[in-house]
Amino acid sequence: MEQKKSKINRLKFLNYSLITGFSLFIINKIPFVRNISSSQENKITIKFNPLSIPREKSGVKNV
Amino acid sequence: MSENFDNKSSINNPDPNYWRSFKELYNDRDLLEKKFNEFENGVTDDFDPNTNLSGLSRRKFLALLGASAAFAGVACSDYRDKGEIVAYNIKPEEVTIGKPNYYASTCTGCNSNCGILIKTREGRPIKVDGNPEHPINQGKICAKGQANILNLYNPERIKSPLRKNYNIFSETNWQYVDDNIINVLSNATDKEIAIISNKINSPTTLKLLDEFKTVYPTSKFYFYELFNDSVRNSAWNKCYGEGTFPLIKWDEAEVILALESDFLGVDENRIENVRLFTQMRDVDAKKFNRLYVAEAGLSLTGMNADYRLKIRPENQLEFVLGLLTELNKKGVIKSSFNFNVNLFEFVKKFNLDEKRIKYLLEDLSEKKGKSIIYAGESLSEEVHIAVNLLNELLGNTNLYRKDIRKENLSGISDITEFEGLVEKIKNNKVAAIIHLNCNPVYHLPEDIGYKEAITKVEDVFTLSETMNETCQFSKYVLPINHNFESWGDYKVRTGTISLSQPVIMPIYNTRQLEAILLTWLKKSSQAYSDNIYHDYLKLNWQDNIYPKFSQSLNFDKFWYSALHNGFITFQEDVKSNFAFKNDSIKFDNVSVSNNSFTLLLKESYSLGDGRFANNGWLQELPHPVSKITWDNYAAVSLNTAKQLGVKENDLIEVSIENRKLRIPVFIQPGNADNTIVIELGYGRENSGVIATGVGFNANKLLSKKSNYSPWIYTNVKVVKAPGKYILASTQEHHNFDIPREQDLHFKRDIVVEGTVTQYLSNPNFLKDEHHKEHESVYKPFEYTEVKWGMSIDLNKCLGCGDCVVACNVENNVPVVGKDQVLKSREMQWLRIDRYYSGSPDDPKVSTQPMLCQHCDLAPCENVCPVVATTHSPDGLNQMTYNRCVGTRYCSNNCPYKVRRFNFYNFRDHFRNGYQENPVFALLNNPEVTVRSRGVMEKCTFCIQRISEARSEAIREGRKVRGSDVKTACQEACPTNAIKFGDINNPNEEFYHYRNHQLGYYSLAELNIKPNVTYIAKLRNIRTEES
Repeated sequence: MEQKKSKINRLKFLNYSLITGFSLFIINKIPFVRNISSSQENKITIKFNPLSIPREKSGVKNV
Repeated sequence: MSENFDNKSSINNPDPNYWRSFKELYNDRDLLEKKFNEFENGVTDDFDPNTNLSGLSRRKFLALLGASAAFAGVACSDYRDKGEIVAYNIKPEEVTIGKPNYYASTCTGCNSNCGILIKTREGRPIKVDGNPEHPINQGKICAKGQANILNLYNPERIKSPLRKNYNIFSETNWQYVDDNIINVLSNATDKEIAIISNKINSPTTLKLLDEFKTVYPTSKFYFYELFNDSVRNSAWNKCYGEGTFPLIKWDEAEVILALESDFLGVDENRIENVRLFTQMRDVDAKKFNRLYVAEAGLSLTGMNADYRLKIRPENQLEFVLGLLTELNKKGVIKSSFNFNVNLFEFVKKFNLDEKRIKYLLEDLSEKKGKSIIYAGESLSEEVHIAVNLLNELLGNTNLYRKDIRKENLSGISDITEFEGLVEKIKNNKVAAIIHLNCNPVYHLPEDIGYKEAITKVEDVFTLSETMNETCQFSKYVLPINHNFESWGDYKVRTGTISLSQPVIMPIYNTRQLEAILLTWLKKSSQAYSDNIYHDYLKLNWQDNIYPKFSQSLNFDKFWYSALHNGFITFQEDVKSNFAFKNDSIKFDNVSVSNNSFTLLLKESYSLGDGRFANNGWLQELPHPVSKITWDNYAAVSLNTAKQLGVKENDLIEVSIENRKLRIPVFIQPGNADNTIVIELGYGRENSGVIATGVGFNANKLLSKKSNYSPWIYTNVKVVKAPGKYILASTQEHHNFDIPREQDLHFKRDIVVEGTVTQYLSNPNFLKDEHHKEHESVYKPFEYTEVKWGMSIDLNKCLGCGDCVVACNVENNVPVVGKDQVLKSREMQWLRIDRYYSGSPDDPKVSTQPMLCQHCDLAPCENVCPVVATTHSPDGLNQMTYNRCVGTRYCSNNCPYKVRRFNFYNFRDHFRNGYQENPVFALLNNPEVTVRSRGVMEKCTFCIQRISEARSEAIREGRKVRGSDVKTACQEACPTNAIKFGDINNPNEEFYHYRNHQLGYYSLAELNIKPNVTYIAKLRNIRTEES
């Protein structure tokens, strides 16, 4: 029996790949989806300590 | 060294002949060939067009591109997404977006506890510099202090408490560990709780430990430091009955004799020492001290000596007693002691230069009361006692500071206490061991048996920022805050207490060390709060420190002011008893003959005792003497190398009794024969991606009992071992002399030197000898406004390298790794060139910081095909990174070889993207572009600081001034050798240095008009030698 070879039309393949990729890109921008996919471990929070006194603080003078 | 060097040798050339390595001195052919080539062989080796080009056709490529776009869409969801920016609802008044905030704090990189100012941007620290108002360091910190910021953003910090089960660490939570530990401590009523720590300088922490002992009465504290001045202090106590060794007034010492003392390099008080010392190296004030150094291994202090003597440590006692005897004979001192040591026989026995000894004797005689003899902390107690006596008899006690003394709050435990601890462990008398941010398994001598002993204790708890050797033996490892996340106070001197405050909330789930102890003290894991130690510290200050001040300010204002300044000063009476006790004088074994080797174990210039081993900037900082990066080595003299039959990079085996170490050899000019010098702090295990496996662990050679001192061993056996280990040295990189031309550095004004005598008799002697007028085919450009320039005073530059690390931090310079350094690809914008002159056995050393000279007629600008490098109207040679295509023609044309090419994206290339880690990226200075692969970079004269100053000037409605800008290297230099400013403004301080009598330009004859002026080094040698 002859095996049917399916020929993929390169242009069609390219088009479908681009559309798929673009769609995934948009879907990933939805916050709900993004939060699931992004790793919580990499999140770093930068906060300064409110009890610390920078040099620029007004009203604080040299002893 | 290769065998194929030229027969011509420059050793007999009477003119000063500057050389950087033995290969250069002996005209090694490989090196000469290397000098011809701009770049190392193999620059394009990584890319082979025959095998690496893909056979993929364009059509196939486009098809696959479409498919991969689908996957890229998923992967790209986080790419470049740094999160959200949310505007302030209520902005703190002191915060202006885009402008930095500065916090005063204290560095804990070593026991100097220098005052620092931490620069923060958008809440994260990015740069550390000295606090200009701090009385001790006065605005300067060392390379370790500068690089400490990298430790904060170390991706390998422990992020959460760890519990060990079957040799595997797993994360747990604080409540679990606190409850368990409190349970163990509470039940330890009849067994000891051993608490081990480094020396503590904090009065509040010590108060906390006292309270801890009250709650847990079986607690016993052990303090240690790998390098300490316990021997010096012990000798002082024997001589004077009490107290600690005083601080020295280096700025008043006209003659200094340093005995195996690197007081300019690694002394605890180094920053203050170098500032005071270089005040007596002032060409304008015409004040010059004379430095004699007697040492076995060439050190940074030895490099800056006017006269150097090679004396092995075991012979130092005989040398000092010889000086005493001779000065007594001459009537210079009056001593009832008769040591009967013939100094000139000593000189003959050890082949010393008799002239130098005569000069030394004459100088000590003439400058009685204005000189100082200073013994290194590694020498024996007897040497220190002899030195104290000599200083006493010469009246040099004038130079001891009597108004301020060093504090030694916790002290250091004797080694016998650690032996006692090990005995107790073996006898099952220890319930628990707590390590407070220390690493005794790595630091303590192996023959104490501590490492074996603690395996017998079930409850070992280690509080540490990162994993280390000691953590591996611990049941729980508790992560602590970095210094920049912590509160604290420090008292290292009478009359001054420094404060540290957190500039950022803890990045990970870590706690402050003292807060952890307070929680255990209160016997409840629920007692912890984020501010628990802040409240304790503040209360202690209110009760014990504030009352010493006048009560005109209420406490809160006092506290805020103290935090704002970073320190407080107050009057504190100092008992200084300087009555010498003659019964301390008793010396055994004065004359020591040692036919075998002597081993000196020294502190690393960049890693300290090893605590900075996981810091890439410090590992890559070239050693100030040998210029080696990334490893330690055994430094030996040329004669010793010949005797052992070894060449550079060969391995030797150093053994003392049953302790052995194999380590590569480096042939160090100027070392004493039969002496091995090795730095500690290397060979770390389980200590991070950068530290682990780098260098050789010479701590193995330490012993609880030494026949000389804890860091010096005699009767050492050394033999050649099979194998080689390549050391990465930068000393032959970036040559800018012509091959086969001897003494080019002298002829071409790369290194220009004179003597103090020449300068005092004719201040313009340099201009007379070196003045050259050059014509140019180019029409000169008129710089009518500010024109930026720099001057570097080579009399004050000691070659320490602090400026190099400061530049790395400020300008986001990447670490490249040892393999790339071997290919001359280190990326440091500023390098310290070190030249020897004279013979290899007794060289003189000259150092010269080399950076982009910002030449007016820069040869790099003409050859760039894409105009990526241009010249600004204010005199800067600019670099436009996004125009650069990487031809490297500019680097080829640069005569100073100061341009650096990014052969890789080193952030990605080094250690598999270690520097691409999101936490590590927080370190970057947002004001400076982060360069990628294929782009040339170089010193920019800190253009970001110039731009900021210009913006500030515009806001104030005035023109920018030269004095408004301080470059990173200038700010960091502890001796103020670097000056920066406006060449065109005669009213500025910088103008004087630009037009100095001793000023010269490197490679002036090329007529490219560099804007960096070097102030020629003057050696303070005797007139008859001048």
